[in-house]
Amino acid sequence: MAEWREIFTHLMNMFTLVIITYFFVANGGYTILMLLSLGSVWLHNRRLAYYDLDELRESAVTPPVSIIMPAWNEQEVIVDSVHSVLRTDYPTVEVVVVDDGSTDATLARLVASFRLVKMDLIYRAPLSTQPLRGFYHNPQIPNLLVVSKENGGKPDALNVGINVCRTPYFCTLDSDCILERDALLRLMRPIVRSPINTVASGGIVRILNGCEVKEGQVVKVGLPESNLERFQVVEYMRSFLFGRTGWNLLRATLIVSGAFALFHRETVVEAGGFRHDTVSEDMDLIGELHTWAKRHNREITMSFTSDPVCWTEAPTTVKMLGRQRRRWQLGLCQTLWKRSEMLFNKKYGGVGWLSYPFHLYVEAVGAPVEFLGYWMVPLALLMGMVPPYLFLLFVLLSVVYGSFLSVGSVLLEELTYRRYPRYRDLLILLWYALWDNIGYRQLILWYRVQGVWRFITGFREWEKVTHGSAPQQA
Amino acid sequence: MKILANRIVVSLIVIVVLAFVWEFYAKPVTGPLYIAAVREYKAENYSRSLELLDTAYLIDPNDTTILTLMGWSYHKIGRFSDAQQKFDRALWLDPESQDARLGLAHSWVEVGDGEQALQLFNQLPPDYQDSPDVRVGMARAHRMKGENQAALKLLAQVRWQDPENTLAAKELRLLIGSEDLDVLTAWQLGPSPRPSQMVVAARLREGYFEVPDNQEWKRFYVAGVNIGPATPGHFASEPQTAVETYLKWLDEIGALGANTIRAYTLLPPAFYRALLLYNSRHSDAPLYLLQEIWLKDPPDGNLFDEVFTEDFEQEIRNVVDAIHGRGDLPIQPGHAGGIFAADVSPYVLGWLVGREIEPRVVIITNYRNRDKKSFAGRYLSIAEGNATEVWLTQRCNAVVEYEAEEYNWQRPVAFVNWPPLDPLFHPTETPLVEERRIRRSLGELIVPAVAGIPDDDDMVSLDEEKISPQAEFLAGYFAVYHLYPFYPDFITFDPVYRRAQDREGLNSYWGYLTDLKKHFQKTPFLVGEYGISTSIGIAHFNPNGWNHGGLEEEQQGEVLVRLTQNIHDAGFAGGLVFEWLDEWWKHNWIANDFEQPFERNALWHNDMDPEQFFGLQKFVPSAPPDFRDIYWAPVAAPGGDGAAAFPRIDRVAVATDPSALYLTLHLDMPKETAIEWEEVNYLLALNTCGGPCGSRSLPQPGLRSLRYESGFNFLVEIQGPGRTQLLVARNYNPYRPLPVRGLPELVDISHVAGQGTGVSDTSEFEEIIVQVNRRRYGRDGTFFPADRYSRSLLTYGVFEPESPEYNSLGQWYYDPDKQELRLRLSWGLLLVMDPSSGFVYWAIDGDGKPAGIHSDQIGLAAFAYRPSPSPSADPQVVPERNLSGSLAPMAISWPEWDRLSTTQVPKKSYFMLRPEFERLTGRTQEGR
Repeated sequence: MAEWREIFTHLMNMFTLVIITYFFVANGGYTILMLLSLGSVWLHNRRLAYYDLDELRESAVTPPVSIIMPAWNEQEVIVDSVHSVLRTDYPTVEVVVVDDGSTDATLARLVASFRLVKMDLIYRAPLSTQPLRGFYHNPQIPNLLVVSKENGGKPDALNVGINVCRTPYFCTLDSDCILERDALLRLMRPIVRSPINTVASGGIVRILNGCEVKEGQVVKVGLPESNLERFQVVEYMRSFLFGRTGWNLLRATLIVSGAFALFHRETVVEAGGFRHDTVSEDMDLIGELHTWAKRHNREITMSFTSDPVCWTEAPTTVKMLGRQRRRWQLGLCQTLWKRSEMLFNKKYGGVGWLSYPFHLYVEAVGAPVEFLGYWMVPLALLMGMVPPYLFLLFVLLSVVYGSFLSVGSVLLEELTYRRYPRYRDLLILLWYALWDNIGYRQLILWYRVQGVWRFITGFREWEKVTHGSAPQQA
Repeated sequence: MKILANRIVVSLIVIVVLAFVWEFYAKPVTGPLYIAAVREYKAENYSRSLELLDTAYLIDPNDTTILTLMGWSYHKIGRFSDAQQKFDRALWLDPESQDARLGLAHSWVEVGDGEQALQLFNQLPPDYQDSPDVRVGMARAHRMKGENQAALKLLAQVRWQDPENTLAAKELRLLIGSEDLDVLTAWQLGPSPRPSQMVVAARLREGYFEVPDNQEWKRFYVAGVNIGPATPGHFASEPQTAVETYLKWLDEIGALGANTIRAYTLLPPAFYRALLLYNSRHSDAPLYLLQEIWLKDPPDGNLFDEVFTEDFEQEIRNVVDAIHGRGDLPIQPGHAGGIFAADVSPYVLGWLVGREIEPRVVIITNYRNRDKKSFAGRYLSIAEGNATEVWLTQRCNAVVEYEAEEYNWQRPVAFVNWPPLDPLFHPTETPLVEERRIRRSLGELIVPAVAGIPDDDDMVSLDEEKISPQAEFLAGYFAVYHLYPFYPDFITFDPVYRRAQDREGLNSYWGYLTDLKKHFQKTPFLVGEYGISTSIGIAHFNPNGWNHGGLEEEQQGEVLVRLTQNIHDAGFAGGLVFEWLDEWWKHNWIANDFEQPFERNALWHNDMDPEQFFGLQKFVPSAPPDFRDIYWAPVAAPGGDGAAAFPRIDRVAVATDPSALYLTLHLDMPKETAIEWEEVNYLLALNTCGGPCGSRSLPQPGLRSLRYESGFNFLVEIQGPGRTQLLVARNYNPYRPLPVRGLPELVDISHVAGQGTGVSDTSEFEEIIVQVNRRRYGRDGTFFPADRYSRSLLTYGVFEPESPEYNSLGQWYYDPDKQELRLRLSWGLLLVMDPSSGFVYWAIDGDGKPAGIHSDQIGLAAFAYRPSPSPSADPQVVPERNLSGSLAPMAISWPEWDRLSTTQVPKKSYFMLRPEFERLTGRTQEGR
């Protein structure tokens, strides 16, 4: 009896140590990232002062870009999306829509809307993919190409796009996203300016819910109505400010959102294109690019820029949100697991020593640890195993400091970018930021834990996320 | 095995190993901290020990040894709930942790829950239970549960194990009144040693007591004192528990020539032990005891309440058992308990039942029980009485009956009575209803009467003459009255009493005594209380000056001798002086509202409260007042002729004690010269509030241009003997003269509900005038105007008790040897409600009651100035020399205290009363 009690006490002490350390590392990391992001934004804004976007737009040497839009059963949105993309403000842009063997009218609507003609084209396929069904083209719209292929999943469709595109850079864009008109130019700017080969360049993804859209463009920025969506708005602001900009400054970018990212085609092809073995091909590709470059002693860089904006529809129901987050978490785990050699590997520099461990311990392993903490610590307090001061520390770290970070990030970001022009919206956001650590964070945590659980139990399926407006098809 | 090469797996394993290593190997060892904490704990440095333990606790919150030591440290500094929390947690973590259980048990003892403590103590292993500390703890727990015998047994074991155990000694003193386990320790109270023949301890014959002396009855004139055993700092519910203390008092009372003492209620076992011990040492002149059986307040004023009556019957049995050395009572707050093993029954002169009953209770009892008019008991009976008389006869009968049946002993019995219930008719003592009628007829607009029954002094009576002792009652029945020369008002007003004369002259007290004596033809009469107070403040006037307060100790002695003679000459069975000791916790109506909070009343001595000064013995601080200079600055003489002769204030020294603020003004003048009061006067200005109150400017002509922003609420004008007075700012004075509604030519002094205190630029300074006797109307309409007096005039006299010229009423004097002006400003005079916490009068609340505030400090400024007729000439100001502008008074911080150290000192009256007592009792110093 006494031995068991002792063992339990020791286990509890160890767990308490781990959870407290976890919270310190996570909160400390977020705080540092927030400060770095601020610095980065400040630097960026300084650069803007003497760097003109027009210069890039009118330059003869601005590299051409292909926009690859994979589409699978997107009949509701695909035509609008293509219209929107075709209006992109960029000197030379090609649009490649890859119909991934849709079973609905996706292809038919495209053909009808753009009066496409099926034709056979000869092309080189450096990446092996599912067989193609055909190319569709309208000579009146020379920069639009629609490719139809056998169903093979999003990475396969992207690979087809890579195969058929001719430009040195390509941009992946989800068919349900809306691109700001000059987003591509802004995304290209760091690539052009960098002396090193920039193999990937990502921008900011923002939530479309609540905004007014006319002719494929956001004409009025607003807040969504439901709590769930509002919390996501706060979360996106926080994660982009924390997650991406700061890592970029540390030259340790590990994640670029595949919904909207610019890649160097040749490097991607050499690295083998998008893979099928994870559920987040974008994250996987970034990892692959890092490892490939190290393996081949190539000096590459990746960039994240905070001004190019792509709008995406956020899940409006708890169920959809759950699917999305489970997938993200599963993809994160898979990607990290696949590239475990990066962990504390000096070859990978900032990635190996900073962003990879942070994502591993805080984002991936942290989820079950934090989850356990929410149960164990109060339970242990009730059982008298944890002294009240430790419990207070736990609450302080998990909830109070989290709220402080959320409010801080919303405030700082809004003060810098003024993304939501109305003061009322800002106040609402601050209010939601104050509370997102009570409830919403735990909800997301639960999905993350489920994602981790799926990773452990070997669940590999892609859960299709449908948006509020589109009918569910998965 | 391949999976072990994965960096992620390796890193996670490393993390777990690190946590493991931290937990088991690398964690900062709490050992050294703990050892240091133990060292500090042993050095009784508990707060330091707690600091160390707090750090250790942060490192290892689940270590039971750390928790337990934290518990003990909290325990030692008296934070018992914190201690219990730590012990509880330690015990939860490890139910086998006996040290934690021990600590928890002890902390339950400290918070007074014997039941919980015993449960835990009993769970301890045997080797723990054998330790002296545990046994003492268990004994205390048993004692709290009222299990005295179990406690005693444990304490005896401890005394055998460890004779030096002080805690056990203290417990024993509480339990049996002695540290020693001697013949008087009753292990088990066996069957009562019932003599075959009825024993009569004392009896009444021809109006006097008789006690057995060498096989025969001898007349015994009672001359004694009343004992209230609450020393300063203690309330009556916390009597002394040391046998030595009682023995000392009995020795001193014996040396006074007294032969009797009276106890108001059952006292702790130590008292009866002391009495037995004293009487065994003085078997030729033992001290007799009049044991009172205390009556609580009856519910709703009805004595016949069944539960109340049964409780009182139980109390009777308890007290009778106790004086026969067979009492075993739980020790409760407010009621003495323990094991009463000392059999003092031969020395108990008689039983006193009850106390001074409020007329209200008598009215209610009589009204509710109109049918109860007679009682025929075995020992006492009453034929035609009122319900209260019946109830009291029944109780007196019950005392005699129980003692006779249980012990086969008899002794006299009486119930306690007082003038408001005397059987006489007093023409000047108009009942309130009648008085209101008279006042209304004179034109007064009377506020509607307060609800409830007033305590009228001549509405009802209790007449001992109606009660007849039966043949079986051999000891006899007597009457006991508390008789004072200043109360009730009829003793002052009644024209017959005012004309009465004793051997020495006019004496209304004598008038009343003889009047009473006339009524008591068959019942022996004892004066249970008589006395006079030496307070500075007065609460009632008597035509002879035998006021309720305001007497010098020598006057107290003179009055006591006169009253003692009166009682003897009136043919009474004797008298008992009220009282042996000054009781600081008591309170008189005139000062009551200005003594707040009530819980701290015993911590200070209010010179304004006569009720606190009746003792033949007083208490002075063990250390004399410690004077310290609060200002010292040689002030240069201002230019001009004759300035050199001006006796300036050189420096001011200040001291405090539980009764007063003492100020000493060191004057700059030649040795042994008198002050020319026409040349120089002195002024002290005080701010007692610690904040804004009173007047910002001073009324003295030469000082008008001075200002003190916070204001002064008291002034002391030192202008020579008979002309030195303390004045109060009018806006701070709670005593307001208010015209009587409807009779504008009359004024009553009282408080104005809602009167606040403020500071104004100029407020008048006035005398503190209090009303001691309210105006009254005789039944025939005779008008007796109110009596008031001013507290302001300060009595000239040396107030240091050790001085040969000591005057107990002295409030200021000049010492020409040291060129010192010395003042004693009583806290009560300064309207301080509790000096021990710096609580001062502040305002009158909405109900017309005084309310106080906590004051930070007392501000003091001192001035020397030439009095009129040259008002502007040569004032000198301390501390500022500048005679205009702002003042910065000297600050006196409050002498806060929670504990007292006092020494008992006899008053002069003790030595003056001694010859009289010796004469009456025949017990002289030489005789022994």
